[in-house]
Amino acid sequence: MNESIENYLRIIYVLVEKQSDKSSGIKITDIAKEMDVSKPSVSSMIKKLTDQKYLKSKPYSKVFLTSKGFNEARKITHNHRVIEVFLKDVLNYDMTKVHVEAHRLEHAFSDESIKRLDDFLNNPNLSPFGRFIPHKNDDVVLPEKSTLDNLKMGEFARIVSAPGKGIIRRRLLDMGVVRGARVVIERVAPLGDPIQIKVKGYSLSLRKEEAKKIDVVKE
Amino acid sequence: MTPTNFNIALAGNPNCGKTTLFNNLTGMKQHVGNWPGKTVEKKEGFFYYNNLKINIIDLPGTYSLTAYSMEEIVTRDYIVNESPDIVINIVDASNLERNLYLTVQLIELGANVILALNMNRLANKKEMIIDSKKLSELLGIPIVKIEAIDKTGRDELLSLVMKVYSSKKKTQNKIHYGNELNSHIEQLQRIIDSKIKNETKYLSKWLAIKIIEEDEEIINYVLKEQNGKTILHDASKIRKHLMEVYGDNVDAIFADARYGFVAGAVAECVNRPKVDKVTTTDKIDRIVTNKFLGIPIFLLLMYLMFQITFSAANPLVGLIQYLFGLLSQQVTIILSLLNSPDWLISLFVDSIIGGVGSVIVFLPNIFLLFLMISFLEDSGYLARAAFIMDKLMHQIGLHGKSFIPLILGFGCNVPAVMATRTLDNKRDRLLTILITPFMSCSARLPVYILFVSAFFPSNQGLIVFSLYLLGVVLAITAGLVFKTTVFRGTTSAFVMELPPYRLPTIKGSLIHMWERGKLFIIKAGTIIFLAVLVIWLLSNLPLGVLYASESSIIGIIGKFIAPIFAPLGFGVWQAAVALIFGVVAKEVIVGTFGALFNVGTQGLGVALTAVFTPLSAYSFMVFTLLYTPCIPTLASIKRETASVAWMFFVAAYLAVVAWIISFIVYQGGLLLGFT
Repeated sequence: MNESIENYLRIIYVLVEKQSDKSSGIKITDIAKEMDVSKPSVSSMIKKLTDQKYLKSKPYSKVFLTSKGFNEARKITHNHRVIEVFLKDVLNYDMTKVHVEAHRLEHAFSDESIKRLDDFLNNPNLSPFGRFIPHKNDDVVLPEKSTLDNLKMGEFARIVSAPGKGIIRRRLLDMGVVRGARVVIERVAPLGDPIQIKVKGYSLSLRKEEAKKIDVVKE
Repeated sequence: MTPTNFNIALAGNPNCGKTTLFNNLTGMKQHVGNWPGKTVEKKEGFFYYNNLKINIIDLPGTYSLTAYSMEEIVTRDYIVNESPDIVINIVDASNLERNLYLTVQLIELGANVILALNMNRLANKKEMIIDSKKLSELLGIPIVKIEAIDKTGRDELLSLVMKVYSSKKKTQNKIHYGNELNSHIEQLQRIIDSKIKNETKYLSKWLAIKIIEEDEEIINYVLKEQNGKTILHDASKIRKHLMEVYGDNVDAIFADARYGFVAGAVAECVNRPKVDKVTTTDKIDRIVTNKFLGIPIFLLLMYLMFQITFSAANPLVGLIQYLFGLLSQQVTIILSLLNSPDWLISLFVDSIIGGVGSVIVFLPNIFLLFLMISFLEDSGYLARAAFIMDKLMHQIGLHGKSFIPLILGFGCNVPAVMATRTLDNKRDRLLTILITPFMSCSARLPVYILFVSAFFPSNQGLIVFSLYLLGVVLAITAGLVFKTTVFRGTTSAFVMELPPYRLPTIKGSLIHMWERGKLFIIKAGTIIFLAVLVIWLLSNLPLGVLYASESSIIGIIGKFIAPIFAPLGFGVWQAAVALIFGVVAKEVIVGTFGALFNVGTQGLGVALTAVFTPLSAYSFMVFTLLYTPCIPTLASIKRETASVAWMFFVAAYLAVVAWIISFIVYQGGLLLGFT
């Protein structure tokens, strides 16, 4: 499969991910906008993808992924995001470069090496940009977003955004509650508040009203 | 080469073993005070190494170096302004990532950093293997492994300090923030270099970082410089650009970048098990913060602490009282033998010995209390206590840690106010101090006992209990009122580390206890001394009057202010004088009544029935509970708030509250048909 097909599939996957109704199809103009190319060149590519049975499309209408297309799109998205994790967490790449570099590498990794990389990274669920990493048999899923106060005891999650504003936000950032940090609820105080979480390898307590403002995605 | 003035500073997170190292290096050769104008503790000391005197300062424990907290500002100002020769950064090896976050900022600041990796044994227990050599290379600073609690690594640390000092090498900032961020920091750094005559001690790179980070203090500093506005303008463009690229605010971008750098270094240098080991701390926490056991265990510990502070200290308190009594007697005898005039005897006995005695008498309580508080704090339990109690305390606008001072207030308000030190946030500390005096301290009990036995012989327990309860109810009310008025709009964060449990060192606890006790004697002692002197003068002037009699100045003042208390049911001058004396120490009210009615403790009850009715007696007890706290408490309030204004505010607002509540009690009682 050539690189540009892969890129188109990944973009379409991302667009589907953004939709609330997964079956409503994708507008060609949206693809053009996302790929930053002209509409005619998108149209010719769409035709090619349709011919190869990755997409269902009619002229001047929305496009839909076939199940073959969906599987391919999911796989390439998975690979891209696993590589992003690797670049950010292990190679300590700059966030601004992570995406571009992953873009370059995703086509080169074999299934085998991606699997090994995935295992090596403990099968992460979240890309450095807070996107969900789809695995085999997953539907198009949005990452299961939640807030820190909603986690169950022992449930692992990753921080999507640092919370609130002002001094509490600053304090939480300094204490390691930063984007991508892995957290787990260790304990709830006897009266039901505050909670104790583990982050960066140590125990931190905070009130539920603060935890409520911290977005996380479950692992 | 022998430097004349060799200064090292200790920096690190709270609970990293910093103070333990400080205590072990200096022993008793230390001095605890406050940073000028701040309520942040300053610990200085010195020790000798190779016949060289080394001054050492224990900087406040901080997690970061922002402008958001006093401790952090104090730390960075000290490092920049005093530029200590070496900054030893103590790092908890078992909690490396968060600790190194501070290290990164110390390097940014331009400190000459040596990293002392502490608690390696604990890290080993967690099966973490740290390659300190590699870590040292990545961070660009020398590292030495120590155990602060014993002597492990101390010689290595000190010889490293000497080596780094004599090599004159400065720490190089090798921190990588990612190319994007790096390039913009450098961009602003160049602008700063070209536009500011940076004669200050700030590194231009640090300035650049702090300006982009929107650090309030530094922005204000730059604004004062020439070209300051243009620099800030350029910075705001950079900030906007960064926020677009990263899709987040600058504070998060920098926190991410620093934690990112640290995470990278830790990933390279530390081998840790995939699944965290269950630690002893986990096991203890499962019990002491258990849903059902947590609160009973907490209450039991509080009860024990209370008992030890006030009961175990009692024999010592009695002894001190006895000794001071003996001293008064002897001095009286000696002075009489020398034919001294009565006023001199009175000055010595009533004023000086009595006054000093009234302070010294608190010492056993204070020493014991601080021994226990330091035990609770150093062991890690205090954080759990706050964790358990926070929900309750938060409802009246307080912090979980406020509970301990409030409980202690039932014993004595002085240590209670001092115990607010355990609160990190200024707002929480102040709010707790403001309501602490509502806790009915043990010095008020003799007054209650005197009155209930005279007026309510069959309901003594109930009446006294009602007073304690009234105090608690008013404390809660006051908390709610302050929360919505004076402290409106401010919130207190409850973002608190729950450190691993540790066995506190005896040495550390003893030093802590001694320093606190000493501070109390000096500070409270001087104020009390002046106060008793003034009261003594007022009681003895004009010359020749009977001590504190109707015709003495204080008697005249008493008569003058007595009408204020008339609506409360006790508009007699003796009550007014007793209340004035009660400000010195509340239990003095009893003795004053004795002197004024010229009866011993036996006949006092009967004498009081002549001027009080049961209702006015109750009103008087309520007033005693609530009005202006004693001078030692006020002195501690001044110390802990670093503000005379707050001290006077407390004195005044409580007097007003007392008057209003007593008024309601008395007039309401009359309406209901009580007498």
